Amino acid sequence: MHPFVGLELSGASLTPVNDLEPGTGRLGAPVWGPEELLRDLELRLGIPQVEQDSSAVRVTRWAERIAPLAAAGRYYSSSFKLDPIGTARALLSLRDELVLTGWDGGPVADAGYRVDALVEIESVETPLTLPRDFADRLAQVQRELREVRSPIYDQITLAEEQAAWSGLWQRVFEALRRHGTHLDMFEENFQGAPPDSDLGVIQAALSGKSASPRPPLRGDGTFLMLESETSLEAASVSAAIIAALGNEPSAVIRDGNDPALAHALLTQGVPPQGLHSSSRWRSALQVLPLALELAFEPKDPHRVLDLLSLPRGPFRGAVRRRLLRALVRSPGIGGRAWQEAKERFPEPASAALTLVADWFERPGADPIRGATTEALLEVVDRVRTWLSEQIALSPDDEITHAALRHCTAFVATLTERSGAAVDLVTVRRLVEFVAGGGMHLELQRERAGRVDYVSSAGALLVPRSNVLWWSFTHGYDKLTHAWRKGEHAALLAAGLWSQSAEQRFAARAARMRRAVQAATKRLLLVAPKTVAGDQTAAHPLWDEIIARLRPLPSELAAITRTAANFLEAGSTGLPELARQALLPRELPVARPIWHLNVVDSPPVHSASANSLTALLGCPLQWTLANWAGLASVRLALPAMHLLNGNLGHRLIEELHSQGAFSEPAERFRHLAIRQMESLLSLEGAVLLRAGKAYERDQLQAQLVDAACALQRTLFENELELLDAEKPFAVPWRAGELRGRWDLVARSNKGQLVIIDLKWGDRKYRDKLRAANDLQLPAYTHALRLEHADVSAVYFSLSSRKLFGARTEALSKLEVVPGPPAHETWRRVERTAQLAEQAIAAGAIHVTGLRTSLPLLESLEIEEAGRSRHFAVKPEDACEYCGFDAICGRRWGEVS
Amino acid sequence: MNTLEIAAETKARSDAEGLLLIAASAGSGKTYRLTHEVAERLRAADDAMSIEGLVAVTYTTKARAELESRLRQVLVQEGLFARADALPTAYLGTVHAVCLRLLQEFALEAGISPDIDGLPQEAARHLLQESLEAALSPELRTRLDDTARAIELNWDGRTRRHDWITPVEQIMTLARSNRLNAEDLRDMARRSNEGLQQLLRPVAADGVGLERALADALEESIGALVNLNDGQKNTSDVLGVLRDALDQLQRGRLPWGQWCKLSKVKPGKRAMPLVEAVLLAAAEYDIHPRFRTEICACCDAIFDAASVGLRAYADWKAQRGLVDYVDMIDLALSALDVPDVQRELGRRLELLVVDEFQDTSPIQLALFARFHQFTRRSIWVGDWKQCIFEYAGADPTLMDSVTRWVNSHGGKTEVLPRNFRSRPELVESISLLFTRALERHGQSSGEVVAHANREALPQLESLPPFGVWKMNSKTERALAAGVARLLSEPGATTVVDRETGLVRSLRPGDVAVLVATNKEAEDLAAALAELGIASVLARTGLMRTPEGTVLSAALGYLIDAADTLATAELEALHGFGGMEQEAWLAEKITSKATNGAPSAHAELLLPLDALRPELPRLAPSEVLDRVIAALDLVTKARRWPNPDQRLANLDALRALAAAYEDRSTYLREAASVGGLLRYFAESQIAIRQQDEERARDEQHVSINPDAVVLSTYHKAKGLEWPVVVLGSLDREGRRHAFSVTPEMDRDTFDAADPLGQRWIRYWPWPLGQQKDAAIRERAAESEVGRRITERDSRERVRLLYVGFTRARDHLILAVTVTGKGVAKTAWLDELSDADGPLLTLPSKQTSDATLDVRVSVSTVHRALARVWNLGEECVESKPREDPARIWFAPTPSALGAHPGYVIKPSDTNDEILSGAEFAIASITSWNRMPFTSTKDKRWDDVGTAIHAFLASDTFELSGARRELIARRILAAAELEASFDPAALLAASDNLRRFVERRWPGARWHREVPVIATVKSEHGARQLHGVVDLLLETEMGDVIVDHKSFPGSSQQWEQEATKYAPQLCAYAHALKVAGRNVIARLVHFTIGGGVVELVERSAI
Ligand code: SF4
Repeated sequence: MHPFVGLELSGASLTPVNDLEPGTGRLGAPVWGPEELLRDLELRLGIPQVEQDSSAVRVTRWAERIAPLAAAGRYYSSSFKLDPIGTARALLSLRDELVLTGWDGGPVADAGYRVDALVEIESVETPLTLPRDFADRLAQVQRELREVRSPIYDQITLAEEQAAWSGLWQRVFEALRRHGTHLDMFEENFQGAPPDSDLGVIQAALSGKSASPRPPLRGDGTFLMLESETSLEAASVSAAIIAALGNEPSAVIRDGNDPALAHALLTQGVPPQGLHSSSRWRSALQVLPLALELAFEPKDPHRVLDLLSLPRGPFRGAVRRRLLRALVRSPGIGGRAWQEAKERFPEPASAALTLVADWFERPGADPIRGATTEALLEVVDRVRTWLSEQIALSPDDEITHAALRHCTAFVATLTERSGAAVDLVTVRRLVEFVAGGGMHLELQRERAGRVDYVSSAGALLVPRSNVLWWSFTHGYDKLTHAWRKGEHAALLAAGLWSQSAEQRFAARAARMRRAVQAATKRLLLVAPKTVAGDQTAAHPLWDEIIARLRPLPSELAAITRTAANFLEAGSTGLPELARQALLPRELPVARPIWHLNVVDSPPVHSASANSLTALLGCPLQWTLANWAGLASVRLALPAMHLLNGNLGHRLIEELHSQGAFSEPAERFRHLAIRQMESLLSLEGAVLLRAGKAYERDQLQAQLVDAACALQRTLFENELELLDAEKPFAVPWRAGELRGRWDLVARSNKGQLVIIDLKWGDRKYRDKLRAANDLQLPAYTHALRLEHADVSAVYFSLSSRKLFGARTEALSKLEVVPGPPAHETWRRVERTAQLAEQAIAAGAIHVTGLRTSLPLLESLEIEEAGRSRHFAVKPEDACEYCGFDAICGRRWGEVS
Repeated sequence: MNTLEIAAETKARSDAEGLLLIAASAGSGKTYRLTHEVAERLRAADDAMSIEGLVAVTYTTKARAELESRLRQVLVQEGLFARADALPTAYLGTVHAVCLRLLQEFALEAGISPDIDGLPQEAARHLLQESLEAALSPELRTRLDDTARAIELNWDGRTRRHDWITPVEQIMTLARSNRLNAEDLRDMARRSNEGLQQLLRPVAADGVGLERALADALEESIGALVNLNDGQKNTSDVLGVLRDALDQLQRGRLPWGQWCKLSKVKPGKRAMPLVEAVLLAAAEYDIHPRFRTEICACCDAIFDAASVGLRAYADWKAQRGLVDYVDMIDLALSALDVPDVQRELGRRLELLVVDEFQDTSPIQLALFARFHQFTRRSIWVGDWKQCIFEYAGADPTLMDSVTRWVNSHGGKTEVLPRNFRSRPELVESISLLFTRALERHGQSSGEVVAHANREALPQLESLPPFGVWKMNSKTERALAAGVARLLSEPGATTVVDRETGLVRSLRPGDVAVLVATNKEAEDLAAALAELGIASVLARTGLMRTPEGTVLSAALGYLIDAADTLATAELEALHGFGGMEQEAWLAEKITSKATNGAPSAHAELLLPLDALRPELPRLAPSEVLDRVIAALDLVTKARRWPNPDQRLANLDALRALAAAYEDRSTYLREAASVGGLLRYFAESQIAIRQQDEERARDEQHVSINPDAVVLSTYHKAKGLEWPVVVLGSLDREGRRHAFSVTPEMDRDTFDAADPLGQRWIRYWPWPLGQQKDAAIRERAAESEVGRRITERDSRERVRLLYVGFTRARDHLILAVTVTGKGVAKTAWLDELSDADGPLLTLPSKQTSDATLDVRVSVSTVHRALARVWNLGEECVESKPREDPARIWFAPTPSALGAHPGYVIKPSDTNDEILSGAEFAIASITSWNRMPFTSTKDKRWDDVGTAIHAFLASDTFELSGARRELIARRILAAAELEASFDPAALLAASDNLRRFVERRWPGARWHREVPVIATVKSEHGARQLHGVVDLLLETEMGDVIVDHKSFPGSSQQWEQEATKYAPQLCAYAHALKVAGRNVIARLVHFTIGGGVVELVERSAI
């Protein structure tokens, strides 16, 4: 066995060992990073391998060990009190670093209070049963190597000098050497590009061997800096270049995490190099956090929505759909919409009802006082059961296994804790603690024929004709160093080796320079200005190149290319990139009229005030919604202004159903307050979310005041409330007119008054004045079929005012001048008939475009006759219309 | 600490020795100077500082990148490679980044959570509100509500709500950024109230009497107006107001704003005398005793709430391990007081560099002063004249006192007077103008005067340094017309190319138009677009672009395939699936009628349908990336109008998705695709940012040489263009005394207590939506009001200075002119002295027109100016040229057929392995390995444990060690109850005996990795595997694969067949590696025996 081992060789690498010609092979010569080497050593020494991430348990136990010391006043005591887990994790990671230097737990002279604290923790009498992490594992390997007599490997080649490895590794290497393993170091011998080429000039400069004077940079294409606006653009150019390089020996340095290149290769038809990514937000991992959130009150409708809309979650099919729709209508658990949804579950419904009860309807804990450990364990159990069912269905699904592991770790952490109740913030932190590390996954497979690549510049150890350095932007910041200068010196003096920060940075920079030397024909550096919106900075190596060469502006221009340059023919020195001429694609054209050729006739048999507003406002809107049936829920809870109105309606309705309107004013207010509270939790729970109290308080007060004002108004007008939210369907023309009367009241003279509840008032006043209010006439018309003396008015919940056209039935009314309702309704009927005829004839008018004519004009109604018709302002029609992307209104500016 | 120590410490802290304050005017090359100052210290021959001793603070991350880049380049040029490499060890970044790093490094010493997360501003606001709400007692909440309602505080007529939370938050923010204690707020409420009381007239004794008088007057006037019935609309409106007021007064109370409104009503002329009594009675509101008690009560309640909130917010964040921007500095300041931190930093830090020092907030200044105690050497560079971020906490008054302090405490100040940016004519005029204008605000001429470094170029002579546009139509249209005119004759406006230094004709990207607000910039962009001129600006509306629409529709469709609107939008944006849009609609209708028959263009959705099964594996941002790839939106974006913007916006959408996941991280909430869609929707809601309401769905801002740059004055800071047009010059001042304002009782800087004697003043506005009231005028005339006006005026002058100094070659003042020819120059007029405005615009459009700067009473400096009169009619719109739609072509290939690159020997379905054929050569069996029940155990774990043992069971081990290893492996796999360690040892011994018999003297190699590169019709592939046991004999190699299959030997033949391809794969790899394989064995460890396979045809 002859492993080739390097600090940056855990990912994809190209080394003399694994860079094989087709039809060749190699035996016993693996390429390993530190983790792989450790695993192999463990295997050969019979040390059981750690399969699962046990860091959560590890940190929890460490925290327990620290607790008594922290209580006795240590430098970390305040932090520990505030965040025991975070503090334990920080100390443990420092301790692991120390173990990696070769530390055996004993005191280190002059190393300072931080090391002393670790020594103290290590010397605590209670036995320490920490699950082993990297450093402990390596320490065990080092110990067990003492038992070994014969060589474990024949030889090890290190990609970097031994000094780059920690003290503990060096002891391991020493032990291996003692047992007969030969150790040597890789030495590259790159020839580089011809010295007079741009690349050659840069390589010479970076290795400090520039000719004097140096040859000029000519822009021969051997060295190019590819600048682009965004990484998506850069990825397209890079993919095209990779495709154009064909079979030339090339390698891509894939620095950074941006997946844009992987996707671009696929869309460009180039065999992809595979894609791995780490994220904690994978959908299947969200069930545990969501379920735990829902173990607390108030239950946040957003979290319910999230749980219901997961692509794979505990709820499916019609049950999921119905609950989602209910929640979108009325954001809370247990309200009317929710109950109605449950009633409509497909039979047999009992299992689904139990599921809903378990996941959503159990009373939750107070977020501050906290949930009991048992309650939380029960939630985790439920999640586990569900996950186990999923595993039974697809046993190889790694994410479900990971989610299950999170559950196990959560339980372990929870049970290790002392204290009976756990508050919501702590639960969230614990979830983050066990699941925050993210889950690594292969998202795209690398395919046969893909161009070679390395995961980082330091992993390119063989020459290549072409090297494309993807995401050549600033990447240094994450390299951290554990030891302060004084500590480092003391550790060194005690024989505990680690590289200083400066040494590590210098070694890293050297590896980057080496990658430049690996190119023999071309080096392309790809530097997008933004990566997923993040501004990038110049790569340190680029600064070095600029500083070493001090290129003239003309030279710089010669070696710099933009994406646009590659779209021009003959981009110097590169094989021709495959290009295509694209036809411009128009966005949906804003046409004031659509000519339709449909055999069926439009569905005009059923109308409502809303559908008529659409029909007379913009026939295209009506057609798309009512005829083509386009609709979207987009899983958005109602906007606040809509929710305010809905709650107002429901409050009045409920108060009416309790007979509260006949109660004395004080009692009525009391009932309204109580009802409002109940409604908020059942149907407006978004307002119970943290940070919403201010809004909720104001709304609550406003609605209660509005209800009281309504009661007073009814009283002052001597009205008796008969019905609230009463649906109606009356014959109208060939079909029906449908809708709901918000309130129907009777005056002391027997007249009926419809009161339509609105949030605001100005808009409706204007409509009444301008004779383009459709609702009140429609409602009046519907009720008039039953009762001769009907009038309709608005009541604004925010201004608490009753207003409308003058009517005998009401003495206290803000009178708004305008035509009588029946006159307006006649206008509506006339115009609706013409609009329907036009639609039936295939002429669909669009009214809200810059080029649109007013509908009455489009319908060719003579100017003189327009006062007999009903006109809706186009902006009113467009205000809540969701079809602007289809009618083209949205694209006015873009086009 | 004893008195002496305190005195010493105080002295040390107030010592400015080693501090160099550089006043660097615009374009004076401050970054260059800064870089070289640092480099100087780093390379000093005798005592060069260590790179980790550097603290360099910049105002933006972009500036950080630039400074770091320049520093690195200088170090490399000096041959200091190791220092250049180690630059990341320096504290280099924005003040918040520096503090965050410091806190992360010293968290345990500072007593904070080591897992602190920096909170973005937007989230901080949300959390602040959350914690405040949780902490306010019901009583205080009621008090706040009642008192705010009483004076209609921040009344919003649309929602009919008052707002007390905004001033509470503002006070909290200001208190935090000035390190004020919660306990001290009460006193500030008292001081605020005292100040406010002075604005009011002496209080009347009888409030009820005032109300009665008003009610009487109202009744009387209402009757009189009804009788008059003059038919005037204004009279009838006033009548409505009076009636409403009376109604409210009778019901109990009339808001003060309504009193104020009544005191100003204007009915028709004949009705005017009839309301006289109302006017008089209503105007008495400010002597009403309740008026003043209510204001005071509201002010007290707000300060009380802020005080409670301050404590609560601190606890709230601490509990969650979160820190916001202010905390970062506050905590860093506290950390710097911890002795352990002091010792370490005292040893380490050697130089503090602060860029854009003028934008420093008080708390930042305290931090820098503290850092200076460690480094003893600091360079703070800034330009007081460009202090324009007061809304973000910068305090220009501090700057003056700091300068004085530095001079008097052993520090040094220096001015960089050379201007490298602009042509000399511009430099001279602007220098004269602002020297004079800033004199009024106490700025010495030495800090303002600039000298041009550039030579006057003869090629630029034909272009006057200034332009004046007189716009006589709607501003944005006229501005657009001016830009169009500029660009229509590029040769008439020559500029110096920054890269080449050569004079050339104007290009669109050379022109920047500066306006006051983003909204104005967006309006101007629309007007330019109508004229076919492209522009670059920070623009919202990302979600309503074609790319934003497609992506949200696609996500909507992925969540809910029944989302017919999402489907329709996707189709519409894909050219209606190749149909005429009407035909498409007809098909939709027919499809609905036939109950959702699949539409003709359903294949458009196939890529999304194919993605759906993967959704459980993906994070929301990954779903977004996959949708972009699946729909090939990059190519599609190239086909839509303005393709560069479209393509760039896709990246902005990715940024929004990343921001959503970030938010989920710090709020510690789950993230989902549904949540991402919600976030997209929320990002479109306008929220207050600086001076205007603005959504967060910002589009990508790219650099485009073919587009005119539109920017706000604030965003233009630090940038330069050959030609700059200054707009919004008629903007009025905005500040007034009725806002939360920081105050300072001294005008000197004290390094020992940089934030001392600061307090917050707040006068709540008590008149709801009524703005025009005597109390406001009195406030404006008060000392506080005058201070605020002066401060506002100074800031407006500074903002103008920023605008004036952006131009390199030509500066245009675009002013609106009224119909009567009067220029509206409210903002420009801020450039004035006691005698009035300093600038005189040319009156005529002549070739010798000049822009005149009044330098002194008798001297006028004249600069040539090109004058254009502009209106909409000047320019014809021309359609913008459609850019070439060339894009990269995909390679024609059938990627679907490409197998994976890596060949796994265990993957028997792999086409390469499936070709192998083999036969059973022999079966040898020995004793089975005994085990008890393995119920509840995964058989894979059994296999792994057996492998692990066999891999480590070398010949040199003693019996005891072998047993120990077996035992611990079984224990780790939780198999100790099922297997006896001795059984493992026996199984291994059986194999040893077999091998010894069959291939005596063979060398054992355990766990041997093999690798081979294989040719395939789709290109190279690589085989990776590990041979469990390789026996090296004289004849060749034997491959042994251990299997834990527990079945009996009768089942082995069939079982072994399954593993044959794997063995063939190993054999192949060995062969191409130059080895000779003589046998392939499957070792059934538990069953006890081996099966030998022979290969009939190799892979
Ligand atoms: S957005 Fe306006 S114009 Fe377009 S369909 Fe809707 S209502 Fe009609």
